[in-house]
Amino acid sequence: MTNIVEVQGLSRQFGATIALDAVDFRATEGRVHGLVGVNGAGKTTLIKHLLGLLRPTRGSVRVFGLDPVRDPVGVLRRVGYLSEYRELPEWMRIDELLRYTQAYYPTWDMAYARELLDTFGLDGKRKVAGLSQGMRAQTGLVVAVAHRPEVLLLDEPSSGLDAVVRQDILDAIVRTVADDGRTVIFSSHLLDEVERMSDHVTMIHDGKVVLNGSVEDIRGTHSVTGLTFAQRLERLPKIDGTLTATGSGRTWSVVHKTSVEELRSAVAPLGGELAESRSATLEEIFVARVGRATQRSEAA
Amino acid sequence: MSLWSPVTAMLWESWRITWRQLAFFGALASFGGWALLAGASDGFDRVAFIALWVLLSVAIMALASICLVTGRAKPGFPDGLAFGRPVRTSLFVAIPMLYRAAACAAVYVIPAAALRAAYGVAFPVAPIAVLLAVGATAFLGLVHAQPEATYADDDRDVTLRRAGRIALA
Repeated sequence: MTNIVEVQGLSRQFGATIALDAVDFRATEGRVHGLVGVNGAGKTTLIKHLLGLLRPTRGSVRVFGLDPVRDPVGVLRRVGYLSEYRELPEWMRIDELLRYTQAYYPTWDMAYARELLDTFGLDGKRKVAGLSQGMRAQTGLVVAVAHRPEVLLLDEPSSGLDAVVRQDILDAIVRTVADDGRTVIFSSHLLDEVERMSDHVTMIHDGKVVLNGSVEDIRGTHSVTGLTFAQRLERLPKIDGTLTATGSGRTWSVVHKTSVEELRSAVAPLGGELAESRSATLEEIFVARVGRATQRSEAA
Repeated sequence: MSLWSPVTAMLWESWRITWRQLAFFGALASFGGWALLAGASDGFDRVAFIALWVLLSVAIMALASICLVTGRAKPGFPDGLAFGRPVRTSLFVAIPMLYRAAACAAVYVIPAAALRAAYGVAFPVAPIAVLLAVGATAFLGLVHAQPEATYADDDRDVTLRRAGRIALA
């Protein structure tokens, strides 16, 4: 599959703050890529680099093989973007906004835009200033997809939205665009949403990529396993391959990357036995990886 | 309404944001000049001089209003700096700036030309139009050259600040 987006060794500093640190990221054609991280992790900064709104301090960014800073027109014509803040001109009516945006995109499909307005139940005569949060998100989405972009970039698309609008946006659009052989990159801190929608996940923390892979691979390599010990333990000793451990006394639960057999061998000398084991959810993996990193940085 | 290109779309956007101010200050200048000149009998030259100052004062008020009020990311800059539409950053920054410079000049030029045609008063048109356009550009330059914390280091804010410094220079 072709790499539509290729980011190599991308670093970005704002004064003394390192927003991105040697980030590698690839997005392949026809897939939905989820960017996961806590607020301030660097997701938006990465997206801004893909749009050419920021210059890398180090490293390179290529979208369709082009540098988005040097060739913003060549890149942005083929990209649809919805920002977290849904920056829309307040004074325009929705119809005006569509015609205004159409002027920038030779591939604009007004029939498709109208169809989406109907689907969302939006009245073209309404002013942007009078729209609810959900309607603004829907309007922003129509504007982002009506030129049928090859890549759709959504920065926290469901932030502040009710479940119905979130469902509309994620199911109807993200999946449709992906099914058309187009690529979607969306950032979110809602892990269940990312797990449901994405083929590929990149976890970012403190400007670094902490985990990157397909959802299946990530979930397939991380498990949650219950442990029981013959004696009460004040704290669980370090076990190779475990990311986090919760529990107390004789009963513990660990998120681990090792196989169940490896874990069994590792806990046997401690007098431990395995109870039930299941595949970890993305949220559990995220908390295990990022939570640990957060604790470490807090300790430092 | 059909917008044919990014440049026409940006000009239309600037026009839609500023037309009320242009109409208001244009009408104010025209009415003020007309009221003075229509009522003048003796000392026409003195009245014409006062009319010129009225036109100039209104144009300066228009300049401050148009350059300060009509902004989103920054005063006098209609777009958000995280604007992801496919247009060259230089164009994205230059078009609104040039439009505002021209609009500020027009608030003086149109009433001055109309009064000149109606009453034969030799109001200087071109030199003052140029002065107003340069003044508006310098004023926008001053405003744009300030860093904007929300968009710190955004390429488009950097370009806007650079354009501001060039305009000031």
